[in-house]
Amino acid sequence: MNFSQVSTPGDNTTTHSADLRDLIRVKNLSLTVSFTDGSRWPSNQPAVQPVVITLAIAHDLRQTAQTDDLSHSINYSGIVSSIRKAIDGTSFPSVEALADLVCESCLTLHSHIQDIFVRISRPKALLYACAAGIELSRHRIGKAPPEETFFIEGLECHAIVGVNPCEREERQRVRFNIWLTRGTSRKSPFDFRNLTRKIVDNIQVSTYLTLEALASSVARVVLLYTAADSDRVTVKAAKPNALILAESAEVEVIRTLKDYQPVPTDSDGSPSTTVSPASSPFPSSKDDTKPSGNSSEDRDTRTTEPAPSTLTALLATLPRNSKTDSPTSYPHKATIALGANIGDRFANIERALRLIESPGADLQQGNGVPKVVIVDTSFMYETSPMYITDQPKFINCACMVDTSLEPRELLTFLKDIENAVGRVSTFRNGPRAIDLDILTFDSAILDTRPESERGTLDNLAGQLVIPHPRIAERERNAETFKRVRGAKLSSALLI
Amino acid sequence: MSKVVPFPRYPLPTASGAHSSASRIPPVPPTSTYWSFPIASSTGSQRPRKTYMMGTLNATPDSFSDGSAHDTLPDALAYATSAVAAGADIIDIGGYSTRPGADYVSPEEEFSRVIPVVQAIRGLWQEGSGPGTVSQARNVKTAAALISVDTFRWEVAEEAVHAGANCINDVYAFTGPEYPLSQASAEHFVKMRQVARDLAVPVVLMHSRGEASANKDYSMYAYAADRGEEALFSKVYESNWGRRSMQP
Repeated sequence: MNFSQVSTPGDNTTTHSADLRDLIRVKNLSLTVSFTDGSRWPSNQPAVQPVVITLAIAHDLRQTAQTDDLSHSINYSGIVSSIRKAIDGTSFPSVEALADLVCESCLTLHSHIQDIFVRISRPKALLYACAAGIELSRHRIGKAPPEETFFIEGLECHAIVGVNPCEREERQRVRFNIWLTRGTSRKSPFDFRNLTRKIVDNIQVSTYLTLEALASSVARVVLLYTAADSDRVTVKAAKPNALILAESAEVEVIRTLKDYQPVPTDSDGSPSTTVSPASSPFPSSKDDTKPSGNSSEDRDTRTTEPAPSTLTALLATLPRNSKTDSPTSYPHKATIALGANIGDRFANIERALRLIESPGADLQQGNGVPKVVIVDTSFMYETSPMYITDQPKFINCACMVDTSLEPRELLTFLKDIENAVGRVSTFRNGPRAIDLDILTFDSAILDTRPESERGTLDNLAGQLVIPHPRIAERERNAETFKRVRGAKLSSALLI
Repeated sequence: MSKVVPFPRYPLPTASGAHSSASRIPPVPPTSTYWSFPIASSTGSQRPRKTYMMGTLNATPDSFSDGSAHDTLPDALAYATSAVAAGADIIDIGGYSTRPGADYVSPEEEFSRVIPVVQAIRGLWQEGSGPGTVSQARNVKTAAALISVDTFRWEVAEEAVHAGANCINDVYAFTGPEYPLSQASAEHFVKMRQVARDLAVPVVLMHSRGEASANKDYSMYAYAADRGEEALFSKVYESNWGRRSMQP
């Protein structure tokens, strides 16, 4: 038996009687009920307000269907009248109390009913949301089911979220549906109002680049609020203005408190840096000599690529060129975007690619082995410039590198290359001989700007922000990434 | 947005635009032109795609229609000029026929068939009956046309590009004629890949099973029609893997 048709993804109603598949449903019964816990605002006086009740009753309908005789079924109008009678003149302290009474009256007055699922929604319960309520089910025999789900639907507020420059400047509407599934308890009423306030406060001060991060932080607020290890929260977050032809772009996360265990900080002691080669989104190159013990993961990743062919096997048997295939260790993997829109754009890109592999990562005096080696390159794409249109078109591509440089060193080196290839510092998004950006560095998340200045993308010059905040604003990057082998960038970055 | 394929221009300008701090890297060729392949944008619009046409210039006695030794320079130039005038976007020049049962051609022989033709086409801009004439305009256009060199030998490819070709077209996808693949194929592959990278030319990789003159055994393909695709895919995959070996 599956009640979830009337329910939501957050509903956890489980099967009670495996042999019963039939349902009778009363959908969205509108009533007015008096509550003593106020409605949009707290109140000491009982407040009459609308509630919307959906009931699903498990009942074997085969006999009724066969005989076409209602006496074998359950009369839904009788159920509705008994509910109305039960709640008439009563003031309820909470939605749980109402739900309990509804279940009880149905089970008491209708002996046919074995299983009942109830969803009660209070449309005027919260200032910021369309509705709040509860979903639960009861079985005639036995105790109350161990879990029930509280929900807040259509919670809307305005937040800074997204990677586009305009999204960093102006708040936009975000909408949340939240389901919290937890053990049944009647110690104290669930405080929707207080929780919602905490959620809204959290959203309004947030400045995440991704909806994923925002959804996850909302889930965290909910879980910290209830502070129970067994609680499970589902947060569906929507950006109604993200896609022009779609109603919204959405993400959905399911979390428990365990998902928010503190993550150990990086060994260099900088807490804002999380460099973790073990979870690098990229497969290792075949002759990677990095010492970390994640080779099996790398192999796994590699095998999702074309299976090693005879050619690949034969290439591996060739003697190494001692000069170029030195056993240098390249502990890091990074992706670099290249763009050019003045001069001989292709030659500029080729020149930059060659300079990236300069001995010792030094354009002047370097010697020895390169500190950055290119392991893969994408196709090249021609795109019209964004934001400023009276400019020559861009040629864009990306490359994947193995490197022994740290993020800041790599940034400095790339700036040297930009200068060498002939970049003239112009206005942002203006013409450039070559533009090199670090898109990703292992799985690091970095921002060298002071915490107070991270709300904008206008101060990126000389700073390092990884993943690159403009990574997603460019259709070309998304396209380019798809074509760089092994670039298993989470779609998170591309929303 | 379009996917683009640039073709570098060869031979390199003699005073190779001394790029101050880039002197430590080999000279980067200027771009001759690039081909553009519109791809569907996220808004779903699809621009019409141009079909690029290749004229095939067979500098091989056994390929010419009359089968005789009319593979002379004037014939080759006449063909190239008429192909360009007829709208060819690129001229493919090959000196080693890969038709079934074709004869073995030594590297020296292939050299002497291909390189002079490439040089002659690039030299066409100074030919013609006089400035402003139709034939002169045609010659100038042909002299600037894209050229691909159809060869599986890295020596021929390298020399042809230096002489003016813009692209390498290899029916064996870099592994040479040996089939099934051997260690020699792998060495061949690495060498050809190196040449292509050092010269920064686009490449056309084709799949072929063994030497042109050999009696080809297709039996191992009988049960898997897509084997060829798979074999080619792995070559494309390997040819893109890494650039580290291009360090001088």
